[in-house]
Amino acid sequence: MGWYEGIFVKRNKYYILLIVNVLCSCLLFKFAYLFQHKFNQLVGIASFLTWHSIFEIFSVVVSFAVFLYAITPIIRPKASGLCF
Amino acid sequence: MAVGIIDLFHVLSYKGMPDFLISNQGANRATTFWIISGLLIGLGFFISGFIRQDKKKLIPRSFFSIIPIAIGIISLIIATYYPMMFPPMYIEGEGLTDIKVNLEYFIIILLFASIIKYYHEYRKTKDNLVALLINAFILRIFSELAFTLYDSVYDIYNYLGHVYKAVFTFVIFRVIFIYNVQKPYVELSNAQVELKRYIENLDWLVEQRTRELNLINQKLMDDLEYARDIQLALLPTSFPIMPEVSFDARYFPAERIGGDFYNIFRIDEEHIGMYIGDVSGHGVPAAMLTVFLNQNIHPTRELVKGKIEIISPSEVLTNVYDSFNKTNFKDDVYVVMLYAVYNIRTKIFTYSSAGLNVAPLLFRNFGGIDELKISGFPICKFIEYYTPGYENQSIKLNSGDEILFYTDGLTEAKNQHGERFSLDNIQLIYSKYGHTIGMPSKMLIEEILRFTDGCKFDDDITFFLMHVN
Repeated sequence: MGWYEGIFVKRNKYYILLIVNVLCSCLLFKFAYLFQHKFNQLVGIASFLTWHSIFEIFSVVVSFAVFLYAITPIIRPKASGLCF
Repeated sequence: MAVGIIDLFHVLSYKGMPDFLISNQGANRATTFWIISGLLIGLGFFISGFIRQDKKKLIPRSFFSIIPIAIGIISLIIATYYPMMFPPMYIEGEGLTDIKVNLEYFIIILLFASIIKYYHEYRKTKDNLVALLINAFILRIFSELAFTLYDSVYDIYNYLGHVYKAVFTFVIFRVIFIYNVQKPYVELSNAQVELKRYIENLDWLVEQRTRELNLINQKLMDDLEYARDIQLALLPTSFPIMPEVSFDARYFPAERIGGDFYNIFRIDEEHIGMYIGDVSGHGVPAAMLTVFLNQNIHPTRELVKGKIEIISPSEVLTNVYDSFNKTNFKDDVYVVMLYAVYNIRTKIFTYSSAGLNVAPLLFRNFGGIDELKISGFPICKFIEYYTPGYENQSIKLNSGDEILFYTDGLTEAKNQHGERFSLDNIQLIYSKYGHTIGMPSKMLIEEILRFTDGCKFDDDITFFLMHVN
């Protein structure tokens, strides 16, 4: 990769991330569509509930952490902390 | 925190989980919690997009704690004990209701609107955290999309939606963490590095600045030297030579250039003009003022048929006063001077003073010492309020008489003890050497140098002697 390509990537890092994000998501959804029956066979209810609890507890912990970190007089992060 | 509390209720009330207040046999309650959580996320970030990034307000933390806890508890009570207050979100055997799907789309619209709002901000600020936030919203949109597609609460879309939600949560945490914790430390660290670099270069910077200042100073000194040469060129280098009268003068500027000035010149065969004075201040401005005076002291005027008339001292000073008031000099600038005309035939000495603060000393040939009477208004920019009436004074001189003209720098010269070179010293010198032409001025210089003993003069020292032969 040449230096000019490097600069292009650096400057547009977040746009590239956004495109990759969308493309990967579309691909994942396609896989989900293709393998939904296989998934039902592989992942039982108990296993699902375990993973579901892990994901959700992670979200809950992070939500509380965000609230704790939002110790600032700046309103925007404070509002995010309150809501999130 | 509101979302965190409701998510906790969501996981506890998920279908298949142990009982939480009531039996978890259906998926409606957990789905209701999910929708409330999603709406809070969508509305919260949409509203926060309209809050200015740097807007600050001190709000008590307790206030921020009560609101999410209240929202969580109210949601729990209604969803658990009064589920009819919410529309059904999931019907067992049928799957998602239309209202649930539509609410998911509504959340997606809110998130999309937030993306647009934050994208505008990113284009303005190029803040990486805002860009990261936009990517988080994209993840959340896909999460919500996944939740519009599932048939069973245990299927792959539901699973995928939760994975997306977890990633979204992590990115949001990263943004908030960087913004509140990491960023200030990074900025502090950068500031320390910058400070260290500055300290390391401080010596070099001081050296460079000193060098630059020395160069500028040298240029100023050169200019001052040049101005001094110009001023010295304006002072008389020789005096009228005639048997009836002789002159001797000395000039010591306090700085490189001073504000004292004098001149002795022949007006015609019988008359000799002379003046001495001091301008306010020292340095270049004072020296430039002496140039102005040199150009504006006119001892004669031309009459009809080429006849020349000698102007009386008082009239000369009046003319200088008028000329001075026509200039753009500042109001605080002024000049004190004495102008005189000596008739070598009649030995009449006529003079007029414009505020000179030291009276010339007349040493009589028989040993007496008189101070010449001086009065008059200094030359300054005051013509709008006052017209000075300069007066001529005349005295008859005799052979052997001598007049010492000087400025206040002579009597104000100080030695190391702060004592002034007084009139008594002058009288003492004159009593010793007064009868030898040239001796008084020579001895006066020697005496002043001995008296001051290397002390810098506070003011210019200027004097000249007129000896009537």
